[in-house]
This record gives sequence, C-alpha cells and structure tokens, in this order.
Amino acid sequence: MTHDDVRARLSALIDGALNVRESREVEAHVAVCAACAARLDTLRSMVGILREDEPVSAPDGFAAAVRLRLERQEVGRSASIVSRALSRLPRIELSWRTAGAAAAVAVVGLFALNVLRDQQGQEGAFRQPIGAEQRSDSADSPAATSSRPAQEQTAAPRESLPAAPAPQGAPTIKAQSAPGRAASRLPSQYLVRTGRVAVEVEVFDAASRQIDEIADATGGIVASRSVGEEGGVSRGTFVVRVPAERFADAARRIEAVGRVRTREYQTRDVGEEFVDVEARLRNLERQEARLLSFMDRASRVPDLIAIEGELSRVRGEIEQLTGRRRYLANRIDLSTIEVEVTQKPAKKPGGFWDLDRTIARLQDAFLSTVRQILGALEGLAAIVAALAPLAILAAVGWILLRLLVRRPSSL
Amino acid sequence: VLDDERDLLERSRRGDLDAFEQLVRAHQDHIYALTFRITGNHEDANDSAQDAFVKAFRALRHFRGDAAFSTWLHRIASNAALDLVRRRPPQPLMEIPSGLTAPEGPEDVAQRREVQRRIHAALGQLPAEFRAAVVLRDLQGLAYDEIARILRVPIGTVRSRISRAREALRVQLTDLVGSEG
Repeated sequence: MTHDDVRARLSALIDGALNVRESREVEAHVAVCAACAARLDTLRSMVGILREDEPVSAPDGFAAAVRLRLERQEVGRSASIVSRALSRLPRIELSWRTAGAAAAVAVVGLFALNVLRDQQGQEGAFRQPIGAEQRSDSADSPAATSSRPAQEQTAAPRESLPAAPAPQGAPTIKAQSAPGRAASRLPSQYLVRTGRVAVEVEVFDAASRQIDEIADATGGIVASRSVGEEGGVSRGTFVVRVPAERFADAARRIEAVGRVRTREYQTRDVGEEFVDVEARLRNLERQEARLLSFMDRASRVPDLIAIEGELSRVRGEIEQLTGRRRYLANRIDLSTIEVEVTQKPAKKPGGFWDLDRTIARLQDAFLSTVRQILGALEGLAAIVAALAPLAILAAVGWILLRLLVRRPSSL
Repeated sequence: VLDDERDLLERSRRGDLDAFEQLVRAHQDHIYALTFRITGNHEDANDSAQDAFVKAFRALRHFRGDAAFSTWLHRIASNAALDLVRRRPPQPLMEIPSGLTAPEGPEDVAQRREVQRRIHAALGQLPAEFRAAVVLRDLQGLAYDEIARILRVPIGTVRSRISRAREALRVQLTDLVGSEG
C-alpha cells in the first residue's frame, strides 16, 4: 500500500470503516511512518473538535409551524402540485426552463398588450373576414349575405319582416320595364312599394359594400348615396332601387346588414292616378289628332294661329303626362328602399360580459401577436440580410490581410 | 421507545396530526441541526427542515419501515437542504449557531464561539455533497451505511467524500488542530 493509499484511508480508519485486512495494512504503515501518524493524529483531533461542536436545536415553535403548514396542506396542495410538476422537468431545465419561461412571458405579455390595446380597434380585425365573406356570397342565399357582426341580428329581422310588401301579388308581376306598355297593367299591379330602414352596423365600410352587393344581386342599383362622418361615427343614406318582385328579398337582405333600429314599409296603390293619367293622355292624343285635322282644313291665318296655339298646349300636356306616367311606371317597376346606415358607437358594456366582444378581442390580439412575431422574425432576417454583404466584405478583407501579412513571413 | 414510535407512525399515517406533531418534536433538533449545517443559515435551515417534515407526512404512506424512521427523515431533510443550497446562489456561510449558553467564564465563551465560527465557516467552504457527508458523520453521528442510504450513493463514495471533506477541513483549521510534526 502506497503512502497515498494510506492517507486516503486514514479517515475511514478513525471511523472503523475499513475491513480487517485494510485496517491492518494501514495500521502497519502508520506504525512505521511518522508523517502518516502525525496526519492521523491531527485528523483525529479535527474530528474531535467537530463532534464537540455545540449542538444546534430547532427554533421555538418549529413543530407548531410544521403542523400549521400541514393543516393548510389542502389549500397549498394545488400550488405544490404545480411546483412539483415544474421541478420534475428534465435536468437541463435550468437554462431551458428560464428561456421557455421568458419566451412564454413575452408572448403572454404581447398577447395581453394586444388585448388591452384593442379597446376600439376591433373593427380592423373584422374588416378582412367580412370582405372575404362578401366576395363569396354572390350565391343567392340571404344568410350568406350577412357578415359576422350582422349574423347575430339575422334571426330577429327575418321574423319581423314586413308583411306588407311580400304577399300582395309581388311574385305575379312580370317585369314590364317599357313604360309604353303600362296600359296593359292589371289593377293589382299599380302598386308602389317603398321602404325605409335604419340599421346600425359594426363596420360602416363593410355595410356600404354589402348594400352595393345586395343591389347587384337583386338586379337593382344604388340610386344615390350620401356618406358622412359625425362625432367619429360614420353614417350614410343609401337609396336602393330594386325590381318590384325582388323587393321582399332585398329588404330582408338589407335588414341583415346590421341591427335594425327602425323600419317602415309602404305600399301605395297608384292605380287610380295611373288610370287617370292614361285616360287623360288618350283624350289629349285624340284632341291632338282632331286639332291636326282642323289645321289641314283651315285656310284663314287667325284660325291657323289659334289652332297652332292649342296644339302646342295639348302637346305640352301630353309630354307632361307621359313623363308622369313614366315616373309612375318606374316607381311601380322599381321599388325604393332608403337605407340609413349608422356605425355602432363604441359599445358600452350592457351586461356583465359580452362574449362576442371578448372572442373578437382575443382573436384580434392573437392575430396581432402572431403578426408581431412574424414581423420580428422578418426584421431579424432583414438585419441578417443587411449585414451579409458587410460580413462578406469583412471576410474578404480578413483573408487579404492574412495573405499580405503571411507572404513576407513565408518567404 | 421504538414501539412508541411505531404507534405514532401508524397514527400519523392515518392522518393524525397530534401523533405526527409528537414525532416532529422527537426529531426536530436532529433534523434542524442537519439542515442548518448543510444550508449554513437559520432561515434556509428552518425552511428546509419544515419542508422535510411536511414532505415526510405526505410520503408516510410510502415509508415501509425497512429503514429506521430517523434515517428516512434524514434522507428527506438532507435532500431538501441540498436542493435549497443548489438552487440559491453560492454565498459565504457565516452565521453563527445560536443558543450557546455555556456555563464557562466569559473568555471561555468567547473562545468557544470563535471555534464554532471557524468550524462553521470551514464547513461552508466545502462542496455541498462533501459537507452533507461529513455533517451526517461527525455532527449527526450516523454510520457509513446509513449515510450511504441517505445520500443514495455507494459506501465507497461515502468514505471518500468524508475523507476528502475532513482533509479540507483539516487544512482550513490547521491552527486549531495543530500542524503535523
């Protein structure tokens, strides 16, 4: 046994923790080696000092503190489960766990920031999906017309749709756009339908686009629009003209654009006026024909002048009545819906919790976070890209420098 | 005494906090001394000793009694203390053990205090695993095989750790133990 072997075993020798053969060998060495004997002595007294060390006792109230914790065990259990679960993560953990936690905190923070920041900004998030939906909804299903913010509203208006315009023979009307043939109308067909709807919408622009599409889809037009902003709230009035037989359809779709605040539908029977206008027209036309025949036979200048004057009056009246008839025919053929669109003002909390709003905000915040992360990555990539030429230059420069420096020494 | 302990254990296992409190009182000084020596300060010692007893109570179902209860407690406590030491940043262990009411004269007291402080500081210089081994051996007075079970290392490892720990202490405390001839 070498010197070092012996020294490594002195400690165990003191404790009697060597086997018989080992301890005999060590004791034999110590007996003849003064240095090792001295080392053994100092070790012994060292251990002696340690063992005489003043005993330490638990502080007062220790057992009570433990008991208190055990009594609260139930309360603390969930927390301890979490901490135990955390402490069971793999051992490389420390760096990984810290990095992961930091990343999680960053993402959660970003997300929270987006949720908070998004007090009024939610329409921005809506804009995209609405546009997308609208493009795909040219199919005739009215349900498809409604965009997300409007969808919640569709149920009510559909039930409360005006009874007036729908049943009164609208489907039997054949499109009769030529005013000249208006004379052949049946009495039930002299109906002018008008509607006035005020809707409140989430996103004004989207609603405006929707109204265009509704006019398109029902074969009508947006005859006029006036749009303005007032106290940060966009509002506008749209006059939509649609063929009479599509009136009910168009009205239903328009009501689905937003939350209906007021609605007003009228059906006016203009049959009497129409018949009257036609009768007067017929009379005037006959009168005109008679006057023309008088004119042929008249020979005296004063007579001619009188007839001429009468003729132009009759002609003027005919023009006027023809215009009136055309107007009436137009009103009958194309129904008018005036839509007043108001953007919903920043919502005041109605109940305790507005789930839709929460979902919208979460969705928006989620997307913003993803966008920001992508943006950050993009920025990083851009930085790398920007530095790449510099790095290449630096590398080339370094290589050149090395070549220049080396050449003399290698010669 | 052993039958008593077995009885208390049985009752504690069924959730009897009174019985467990008696067990705590019986072992608290030993366990506290251990965690104090390993952690080096009273605050951490208190924390890890409490943790150890709380854990022990929860794990009592798993204690099969094939080792002594005190050995089992020592294992839980030394693990708790070592965990705590590993988690915290390294720091000097300078806190002086409290409760030194020796009956000697003032000079004696002062001198003993100085020795205590030196020992404590020297222990604080050791790596935690070595410190645990030597504390269990020389301050807690446990046998090698118990220490091996507590630290869950082979006996040979216990032996070398104690040996190296003592060697390091000897170097640090040369003036107290006298230099070799």
